[in-house]
Amino acid sequence: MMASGTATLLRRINTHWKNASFILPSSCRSFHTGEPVSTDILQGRWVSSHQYQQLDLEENFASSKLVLDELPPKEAKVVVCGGGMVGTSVLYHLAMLGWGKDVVMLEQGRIGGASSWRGSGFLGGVKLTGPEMKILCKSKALAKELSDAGHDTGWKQCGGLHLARTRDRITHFRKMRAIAEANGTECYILSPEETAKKCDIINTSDLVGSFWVPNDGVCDPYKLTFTLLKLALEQGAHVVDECHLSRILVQNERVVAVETSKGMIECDYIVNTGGLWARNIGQMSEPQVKVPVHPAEHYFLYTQKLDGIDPMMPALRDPDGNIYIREFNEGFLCGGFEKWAKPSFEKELPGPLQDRELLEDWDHFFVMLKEMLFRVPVMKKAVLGCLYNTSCAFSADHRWILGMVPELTNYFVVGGLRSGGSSAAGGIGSMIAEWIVSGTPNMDAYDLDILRFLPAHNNGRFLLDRVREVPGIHYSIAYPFSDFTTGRCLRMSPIFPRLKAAGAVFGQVMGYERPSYFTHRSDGDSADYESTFNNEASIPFQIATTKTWTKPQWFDHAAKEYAACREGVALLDYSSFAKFDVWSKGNEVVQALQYLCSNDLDIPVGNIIHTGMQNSYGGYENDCSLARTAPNHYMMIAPSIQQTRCSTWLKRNLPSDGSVVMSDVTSMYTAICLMGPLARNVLSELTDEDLSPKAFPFFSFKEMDVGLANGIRAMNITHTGELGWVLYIPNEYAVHVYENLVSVGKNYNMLHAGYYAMRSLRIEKFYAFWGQDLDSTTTPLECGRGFRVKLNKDIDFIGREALEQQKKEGVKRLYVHLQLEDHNPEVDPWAWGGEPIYRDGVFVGVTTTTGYGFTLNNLICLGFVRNYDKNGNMDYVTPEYIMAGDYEVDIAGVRYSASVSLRSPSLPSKFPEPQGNRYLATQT
Amino acid sequence: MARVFSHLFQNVKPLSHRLDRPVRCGVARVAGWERLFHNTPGLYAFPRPKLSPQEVSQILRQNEGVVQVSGCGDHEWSPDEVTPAATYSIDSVDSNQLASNSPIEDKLAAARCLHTTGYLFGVFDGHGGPECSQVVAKRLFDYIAASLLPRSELRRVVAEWQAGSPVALTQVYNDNSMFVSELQEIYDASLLRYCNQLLTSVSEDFSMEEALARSFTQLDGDLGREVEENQRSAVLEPLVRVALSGSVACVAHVDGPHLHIANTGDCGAVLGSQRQDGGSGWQALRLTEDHTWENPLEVERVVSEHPPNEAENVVKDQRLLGLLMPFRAFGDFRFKWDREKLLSVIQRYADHNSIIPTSLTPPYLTAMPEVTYHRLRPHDRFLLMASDGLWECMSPLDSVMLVGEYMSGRQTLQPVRLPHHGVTLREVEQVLEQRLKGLSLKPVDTSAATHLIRHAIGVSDTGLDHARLSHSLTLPPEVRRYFRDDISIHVIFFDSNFLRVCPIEI
Repeated sequence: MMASGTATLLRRINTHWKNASFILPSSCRSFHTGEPVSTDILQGRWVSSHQYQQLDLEENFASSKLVLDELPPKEAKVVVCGGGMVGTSVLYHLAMLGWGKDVVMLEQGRIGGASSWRGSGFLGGVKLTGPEMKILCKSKALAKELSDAGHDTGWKQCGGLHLARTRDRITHFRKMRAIAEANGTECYILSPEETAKKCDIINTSDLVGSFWVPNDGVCDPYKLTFTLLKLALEQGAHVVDECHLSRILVQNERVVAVETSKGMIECDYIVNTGGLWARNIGQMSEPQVKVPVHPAEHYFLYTQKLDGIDPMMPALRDPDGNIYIREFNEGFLCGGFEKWAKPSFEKELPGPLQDRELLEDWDHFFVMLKEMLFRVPVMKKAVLGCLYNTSCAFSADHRWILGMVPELTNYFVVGGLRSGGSSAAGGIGSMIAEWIVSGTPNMDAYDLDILRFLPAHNNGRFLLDRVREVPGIHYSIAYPFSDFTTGRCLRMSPIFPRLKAAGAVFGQVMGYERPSYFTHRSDGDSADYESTFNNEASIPFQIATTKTWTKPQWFDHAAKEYAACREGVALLDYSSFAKFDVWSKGNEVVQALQYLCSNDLDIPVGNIIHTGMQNSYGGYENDCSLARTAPNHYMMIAPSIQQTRCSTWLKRNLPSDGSVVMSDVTSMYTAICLMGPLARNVLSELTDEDLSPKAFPFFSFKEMDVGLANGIRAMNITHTGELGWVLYIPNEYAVHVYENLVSVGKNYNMLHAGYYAMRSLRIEKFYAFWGQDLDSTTTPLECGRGFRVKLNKDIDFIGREALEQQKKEGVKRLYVHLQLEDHNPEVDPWAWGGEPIYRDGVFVGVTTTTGYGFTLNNLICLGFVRNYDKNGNMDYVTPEYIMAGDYEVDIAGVRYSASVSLRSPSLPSKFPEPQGNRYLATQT
Repeated sequence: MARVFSHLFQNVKPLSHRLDRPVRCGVARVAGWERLFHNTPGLYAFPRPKLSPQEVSQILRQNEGVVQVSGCGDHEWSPDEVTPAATYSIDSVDSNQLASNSPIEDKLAAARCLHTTGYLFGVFDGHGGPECSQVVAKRLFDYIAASLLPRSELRRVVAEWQAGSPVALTQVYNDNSMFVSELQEIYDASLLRYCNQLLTSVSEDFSMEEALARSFTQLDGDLGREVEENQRSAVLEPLVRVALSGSVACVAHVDGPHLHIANTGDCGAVLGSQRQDGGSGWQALRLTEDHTWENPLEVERVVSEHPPNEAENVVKDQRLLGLLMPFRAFGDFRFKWDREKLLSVIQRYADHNSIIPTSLTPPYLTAMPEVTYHRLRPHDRFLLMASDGLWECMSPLDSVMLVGEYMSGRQTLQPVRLPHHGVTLREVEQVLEQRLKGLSLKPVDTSAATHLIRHAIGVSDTGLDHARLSHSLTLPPEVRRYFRDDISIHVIFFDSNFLRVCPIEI
């Protein structure tokens, strides 16, 4: 709680501010002119003084009096909670879609007070993932568009200059350029000399090069947001400030109204754009909505005017120095994303909006200041304007959070925008607005979707631990499989200590510690597990890293594990997979699943089937395996990252009468996969069950005894195309079964294997994984899985209509398997996903997942191939079109030719398949 | 072992600040040493450091002392000692001194009472020479220990003494000096005489306050009496020096949760407690009052003890008789004896300074301490005792916070304060660079007392500043006194676990 004296002071200023309608109190302006300043500034309280002195109240800012509502309407279609930049953008886009009169935005403080009205103002930039890139482009386009229409947004197309101090950073930039060029964004890699020409005030002595995006630029976030607000108000949108949200009323999993300090508002939708407060707003409803964000300190430094600054100096990003610099009002505006940030408001969030500013910690900022002065030496002469310590909300995994929450069906969230409010707000606002109005999102952004989180991510202490590391990620090189070092060892399978002792190096997926690979001992491995068990607690926890773009250091480990999976036997921990039981009293579950799934679920008891769950557009909402364990009971296995998303989809689409019950049993079972031709030999020593191909064929299920334990759900399927079983073991038996397997496995030279080996296997065999290759816009017909869709049967299911139409019309992209031909994996940079694919020299798509095929002895890239016409529209694609082309994959600026395939390959094997017809995961 | 006075007498300055003309002292005390730095040109400019950080630390640490009380099971207890409880209210004690005068006039003492369960800590700030503070520091604890003994025990001790085998009353820490034997004999005789006096003439009702007060006044009386009675002794000169120099004293007696402070003069004791209102901050509780002109009660007391026509001269220029800063002190017999006695006793050691013209109705000065009692609470974490050299540089709360945060191992720096106008980023960078150096200096101290001294003399506007530290430590001896006084510090850390479970009745 703050001292009441300060509160009164701030209140007074606010009133002043309100009367002037964005005109700043004159006492503040004196800060710039050097006259005596108000005590608020002396105390480091920032009242937007120096920054906006340039407005000088002459332009439209002065003349326009924005009329806000005194009281909110009694009802509204959409309530936007939080009047920051992104809230305003959502409001604007809703208004532009014609919902103007029916939307209301609530702000607890004064409008214009949120920190996102004051960000860096950077627009553009390049992201390696598609959805993020699209959002950045849209934000930039919006600012341009408004500027062209004569509105003042402060937009300047000054170009974006990204500096590289290391070779790896340049490789990163080359990848960015590859993806940006493929998307039609003009960009260049510059030498240090060329860099100096673009911006003559920077010190280039230590640079390796730079990345230049001429069409990027900057805006004045305050002016841009102001314009958005003004335009929304002109469309009749309602905005109420000093309005505190106290409760969100829910009926039947829908928000029906919000209770505020200025009255109740009935509504159809709510959008939580609460920024720092988003997580708290989430707690105002019953059930609570989980928005895993935590505030951390973030610094902006403004200098006063400095003679000779080029107003069109490029927007500088120096990620290796963790800083950015731009021109602003004839001075500099700079900030940074330091490696280790300081969490803020650990105990309690501030009440009134204005209190969020913290005393600036110059010592903490010094590291960045040094970098700034090093990079732009002329800045040393600049007179300090203000260092501004605001707090920004960062998500648990540093990516933006958006989408519809799993808990409620008309509740949207946008959060964790870091300080990049300006670069993201425009695009995200448009996406959310369209999503609300049309009922579906206009793009799939699963790695931004709030459904990627688990309740575990919302633990306050977890977030506090994690947020120290999150801001720094923004400017770190996005190496493959990058992972956090905080918030680790959270979800662990019961055999985790044993795996650790066996040399596992872990990666985190959905909070789960999953072995990425094992550092095998040179003496031929499993011989002395017993001795290590005795001191397993003392074995250090190892985090997997791949700090290179070229051949990774774990390559040899993965190769060994891969060989064991294909030619011997290996043990893998699949415990992180999402697991569900779905059942009913009678036959209801079959009917319900037939409606949900695109494959025919009415299989004999004991069988397993792969199926997608499509949405009405035919896209994959979920991709899973279902085992029929009883006539009215199925067990569903879904990718780890689907845990929240697929249970939400099921919950929303299962009969509302409760006749079908679904239960998330992920945490009840430990999943051990025995993979390889010798898996049968190992398992048969521990069970009396007949494991012969005839008695226990591929794609079948049995509940059986293993060792002395019972109730183990064994599935003859490995998700990689190799022979083997996944054993779903009740947790209390897990260690017992594991020890028995390891002990028997010794006779067969069984190895432990990790995720990287498994990933190589499935990529080489052309198995698509949801969240990596497939998303909610991909249909089975596009990814060679038409054979898994029951269009030939007269059973209705979600998406049937769309798929039937697509079957008739044809598809506009196809999933391909590309094997690089002239790539030298020893020296060339590797493909890690997101590389442009060229067909006959024309850009046709990007890779989704890539990996080394240890049998094919080359890099394998999976991805979708499109057929763009001259106008950039997508045309139909046929297998013939695919096969007729010559393909190249662009890895960091070099194109490598590749051979294409639409079918899973038949890999040579020392062990002939016992079953006549092999399962091919992908076929066209 | 060094023999204390054999060398000290070679090089005694006639007078030091406490007896100086007020106008000279005013520079140091009123203007404040930091003002001088603000007049130096440039932004936080200091001369190039003459000392390396290591050298600075070496100087600061040379007088470090530590007493580990809690958890030291390897004590060899002799059979007739009283054994303290296995755990004790005191955890450890950090002590340190930094000299300004040459030789230093401050003295620290720490001791355990061997026949009762208490510990004694003292800070003695001498003036007019180091002799009085040295002697008082070494003798006072025995007087106190004797006063605390039960009658039967005291009788036994006295009997053994008279039988020719002296019994130690205290175990002294971190002191390896001893008196020359002629002096020791005189002092032993005085102590024995006091013990006998306790046995014969003092009532058996024990009061801690009275015991402490009696020890103080008895020792002070003995200092005078010993000069009178040893007029022909070879050690008359040292005895005179002791009587003519002076010393203030602040003594803490800690016995379990019971803390008594006896204070004479202007050393100070401050208790550092953790705040109890849920905050994580610190509170400073002052346990002593200064006996100076700034204390109205003291002024009133002194004036009231003399005829009204003297009022003008008794306290003049903020000093006693216009000369002496503290209003209570050991020694300083010029303020205690009348002219005749003074001249007859000190004889050939008298000079023009010996007679104070305005001294008409002595004594003007007393060694009578003010005794305060505090029962230690679980959130009382440490006791800070220091000579005024520290308190001139630092407020009690600041010092408590420094020690408190030192305890929790945290970096402690005030937020940066930059000028509000026209500071360029280059200047900001320079300020921060200096702070960074300060930060890297910080964790070097393992002693809280050293930590305090470092901050007392080394903090500039930008934080802990190596250039300032170096400058302060390399000042020539002749000007040093104008920048800082001797600094002596005890930091007594309490064992909060003991205090939490300590029963009410003890």
